[in-house]
Amino acid sequence: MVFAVFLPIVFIIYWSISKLNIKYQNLFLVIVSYIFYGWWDWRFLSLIFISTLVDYFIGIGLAKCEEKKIRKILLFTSLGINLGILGFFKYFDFFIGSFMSFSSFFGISLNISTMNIILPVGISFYTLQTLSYSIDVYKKKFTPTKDFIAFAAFVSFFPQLVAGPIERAKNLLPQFYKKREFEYELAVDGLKQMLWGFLKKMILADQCAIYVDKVFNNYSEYSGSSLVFGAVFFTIQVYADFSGYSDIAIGTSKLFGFKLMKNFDYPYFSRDMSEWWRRWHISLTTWFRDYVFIPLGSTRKNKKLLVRNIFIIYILSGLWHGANWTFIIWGGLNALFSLPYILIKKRKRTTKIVAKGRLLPSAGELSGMLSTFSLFTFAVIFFRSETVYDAYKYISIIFSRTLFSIPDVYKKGLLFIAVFIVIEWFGRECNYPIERIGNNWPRILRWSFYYLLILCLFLFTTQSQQFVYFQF
Amino acid sequence: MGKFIKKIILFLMPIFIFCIIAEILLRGIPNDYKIKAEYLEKNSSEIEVLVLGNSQSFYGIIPELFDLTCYNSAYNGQSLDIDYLILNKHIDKISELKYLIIPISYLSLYYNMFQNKNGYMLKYNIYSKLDIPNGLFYSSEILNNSLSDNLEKLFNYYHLGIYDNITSPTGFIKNMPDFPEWKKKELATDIVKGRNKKNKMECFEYNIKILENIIKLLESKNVKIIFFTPPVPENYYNGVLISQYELMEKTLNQFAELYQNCIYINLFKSDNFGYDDFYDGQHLNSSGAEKLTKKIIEIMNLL
Repeated sequence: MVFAVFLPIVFIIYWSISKLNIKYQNLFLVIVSYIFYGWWDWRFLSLIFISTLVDYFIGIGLAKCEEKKIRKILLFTSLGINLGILGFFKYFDFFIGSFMSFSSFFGISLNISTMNIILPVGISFYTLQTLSYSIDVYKKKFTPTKDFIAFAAFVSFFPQLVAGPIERAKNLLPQFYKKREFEYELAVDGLKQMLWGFLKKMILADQCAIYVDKVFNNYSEYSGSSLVFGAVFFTIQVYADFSGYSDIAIGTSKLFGFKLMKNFDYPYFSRDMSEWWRRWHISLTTWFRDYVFIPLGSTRKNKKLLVRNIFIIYILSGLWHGANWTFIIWGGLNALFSLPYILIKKRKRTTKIVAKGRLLPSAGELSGMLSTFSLFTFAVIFFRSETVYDAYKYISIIFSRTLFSIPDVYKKGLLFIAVFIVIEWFGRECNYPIERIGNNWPRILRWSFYYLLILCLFLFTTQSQQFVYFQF
Repeated sequence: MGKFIKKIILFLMPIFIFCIIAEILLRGIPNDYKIKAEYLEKNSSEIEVLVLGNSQSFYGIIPELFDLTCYNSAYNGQSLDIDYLILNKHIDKISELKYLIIPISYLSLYYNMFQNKNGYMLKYNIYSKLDIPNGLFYSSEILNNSLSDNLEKLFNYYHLGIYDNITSPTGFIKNMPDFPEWKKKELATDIVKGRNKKNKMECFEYNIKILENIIKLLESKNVKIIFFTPPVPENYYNGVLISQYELMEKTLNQFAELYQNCIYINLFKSDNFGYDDFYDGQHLNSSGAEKLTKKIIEIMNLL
């Protein structure tokens, strides 16, 4: 509701001042982004500002300095401060708790108090974004900016501040150097993408959440077959929720004349796990590929090194999601499931659109998609469970006799899932499924279609839930 | 840019028109909040006994049994902060007021609408026209309820002639269903568990201030305030958090000692009320309400 009021006001003022100097356009974006974030929790605005300040000056320092040693010190200062802040807010309590459990296992009783630290919204996203800037500048892949306002706008750009996509400086920052001119087609495209994002979030994700919360919070009361549906619903929920948010963020950016990177590319139509990870949360997986996997060393000839590096990035990716052993196991399982495809298939990269130009997939493609979906669904049980023990119990019940009983399933949710999968299947050749629908239709028909979608949005929306990825 | 804005306005126009019409029609549907607010607006100068509070007085105090002119302005979920706003709004008009009756149930001091941002605030804002904090966020039926609920309400009232109205002309509940005793016991256990979860100590200080404001507001007008803790079934009172219950009892007794115009009656564990006197796990049925009202009248007569 607040966003519905905030966005039109910001949009109108932004384009009204577009006739002025580009600096005013950027300054305005910084101010509204800080207001937007401060609305959530003003106490953590200082953290964004510190990150901005540190990386801006380190970027300038790196540009001026050619001496290797000093350049390294500068890079490590950026890494230290950014990861230090992230580590403190996100992982301090987790490591203290784990250390105490580990000590007590060996009979040593430690009494170190945790601090019940509140996680600042979006910290995991903007920290990686600013780090990528410093690393790129260090590697001389990107010329650092001298424009502080543009850099502050890049770090805090409100559409993607709280949950990504995690942008790269070389894609987003140059867009702040150029004066934005209003593009009608881009703005309309942005609105359509936002609408699709809201539909995914407010209908599909929130409807699935009703069943998922019930099942995961009381898993011992459900049969194995119901728990399978619980896990499937959560897999759909997390996709609809996060890709829905990404669509809203990308669409909103288009309204302001910016083009953000794609974050999801129909992952449920992946034929193997390695393809899945090229289609799922693309901005994060490519970040880990470029800034962790590649620097860990060449893996072309050394398979042991390849296996080690794959485990490292998947586990780090799990840990990025949250300070809990469940996320680490989730990451480890994904590494395990991806390995055969990476090792046996000689790292064949399949990201071509499945069944392109055909109505239905082949039997091979279908079995590939189903097995990939099943593996991911199995792993997300750990992602959604509160503790490793809960996940273990959940899986134990699945593999009991009750697996073959009639499931207690949320039929309305199932219907929504089916409808959305069909829409996504037919729209898989577009950036988002409704991108091209109605483009050549007469206005009355096209508008009726949009009215119908808006009607569905309000008719089938349920009790609003927080975006899942806001907690990361 | 101009073309874009123009088209957006044109596109949104039918939606705005629909929303405005739906909002007007929704507000046109009779409801209990409106009925109670209208009664107070028109007849407050005649009221001698005013009943405020939550469902326990809405279901528990029968105005017809009083010799004085009594109105029951209590309602489901109505917390002390709302009671204070109602009183404050009508204080100048209720010139004949002699007694104010307010229930302090187990949850009353540990819950309030403003801090819990309860959805009922919408009703008190729109229909009772109370000065709700952040009232702007609670000023539209269409925006605060789901479209399917709103369409259902419109269809039910304008097509079928059905609407929710459980308030009698004196403000007391109109129809009271009844549950079998085993169900009442089960409900009482569940309700108190729910209450224990809802209990928030951080509301306590705030509610004490509200009570003080109410007392001070009526002190100069020479109005007697009767605080009472309504009776509950056995399974209910056996499940309460003792410390919170005792704090409530102690606080109210202190109020009664401190202020001349207050008295406090605690019927929480009263032996005079059995499962036969309740319709569910916490609310009195008509015979229970009659007993409670007579008890309060008896005490009023002694004052």
